[in-house]
Amino acid sequence: MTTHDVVEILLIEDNPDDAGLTIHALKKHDLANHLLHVQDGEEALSYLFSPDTTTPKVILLDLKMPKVDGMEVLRKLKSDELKKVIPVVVLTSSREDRDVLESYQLGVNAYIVKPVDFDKFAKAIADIGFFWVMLNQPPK
Amino acid sequence: MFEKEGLILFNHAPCGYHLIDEDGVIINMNDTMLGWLGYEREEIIGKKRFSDFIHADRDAADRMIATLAKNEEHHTEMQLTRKDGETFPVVMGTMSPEGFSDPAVRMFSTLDNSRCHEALERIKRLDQELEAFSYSISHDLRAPLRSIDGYSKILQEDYADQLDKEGQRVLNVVMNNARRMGNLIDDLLDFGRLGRKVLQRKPVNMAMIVNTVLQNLRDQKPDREIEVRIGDLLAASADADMMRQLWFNLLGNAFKYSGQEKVARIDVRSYMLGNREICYEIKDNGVGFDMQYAGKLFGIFQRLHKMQDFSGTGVGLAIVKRIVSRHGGRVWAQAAVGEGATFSFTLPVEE
Repeated sequence: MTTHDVVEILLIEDNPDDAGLTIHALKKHDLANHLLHVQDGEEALSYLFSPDTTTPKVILLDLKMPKVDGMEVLRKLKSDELKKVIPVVVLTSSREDRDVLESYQLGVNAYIVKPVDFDKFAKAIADIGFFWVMLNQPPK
Repeated sequence: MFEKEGLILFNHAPCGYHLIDEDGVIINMNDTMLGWLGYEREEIIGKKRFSDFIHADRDAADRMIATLAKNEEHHTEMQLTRKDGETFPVVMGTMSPEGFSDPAVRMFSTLDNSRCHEALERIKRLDQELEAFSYSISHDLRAPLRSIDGYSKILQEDYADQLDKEGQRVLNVVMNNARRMGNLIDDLLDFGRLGRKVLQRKPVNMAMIVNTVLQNLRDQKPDREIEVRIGDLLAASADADMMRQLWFNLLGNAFKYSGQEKVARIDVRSYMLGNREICYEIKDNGVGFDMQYAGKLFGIFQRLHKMQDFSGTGVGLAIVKRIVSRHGGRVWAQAAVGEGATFSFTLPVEE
């Protein structure tokens, strides 16, 4: 996939195994055709702030990543006049109250704790995909 | 009589003493206090105001001394400045001038509070470390578990034709254990978090909480026949979130351990125990337990039943106990094998 392709879902996740599970769950419902996976916050920011990228319908953001972490990505996006309209869903293992609070303070659109149980995880991912890619009307 | 001895006691006491006149000027100070401040007697007596040593601006320091002098029972914490510029924490109190030869003179006693402060700092540091530790557990331990469960599931679904019955069974064992460990981690974190959470006491409508929790539990097992009788449930002053969790765990247990009864019966009621405690009681007609092991009931990771018979991590009642004791109450259980169990807990009545 080149940066000129339409990206519907931008998955920012450093753990390749976790990313594999997310993509697997989305594929089952045919939601992964326009998915771009980047492996850390730095890569995500350079993709999102490059002039010739398309605006994704939703960003799935992991919090704990090396170099630039998810919270930093969220802060950069939500403080940018143009980028702040992109829906961001935090997808994390952390159930810590302060992470939830901080994410919402920064303007996150949803906060999902990844369940350990794969059936629940797959359902959560499919729900997110359906809602943000099919149901939700993002700003043009 | 004993004038000399009195002076020696005054100077060698483990706490600092000093006297000020009506202008706040120091008219006497014992050796202990002089040593802490790092001055010679001649540098201070009749020359310095005590507020000069308080690490705060002059007005604030004067106000502190005035407040202290007015309020004899009260001890005030403040920082004093040594001759070398270093500061150290103290607790200071004063005595009534009644019986003094000059009623305008005030006498103060001072305790060096450095060790207490150091201990507090250490606790704060440990608390931060603990928080970082549990944060890391919540994040780093769950991710690999999700992979174990997830990829086993993919194997089971997408490669089903290459796995025989035994292969399927083995994979199920792997997944069940991954999920179980996930639950253990969640429960353990809940338990840890409880100890640090600030208690927010407010009047709590127990009847409402019990009804909501019961509805929740019924929704999880819609095909079970469960008769619940709810008696009078007195309101209490407690932390509402914690109460929800407490009832959820206790009623959840009543549901779980009566699962083999054709008709499960659960009775919930409350009554006053003397005039200082409310006692809440949850009675079920389930499998009960052997009172011989009652002492283990509320310990963390303690279970009195086999995993095959009843699921669970052994954290639920430990959480119950912690919630109750944080509220200043007690919890206990009465049971017999095959004859159900009755759990009781008390909450103190707010004065």
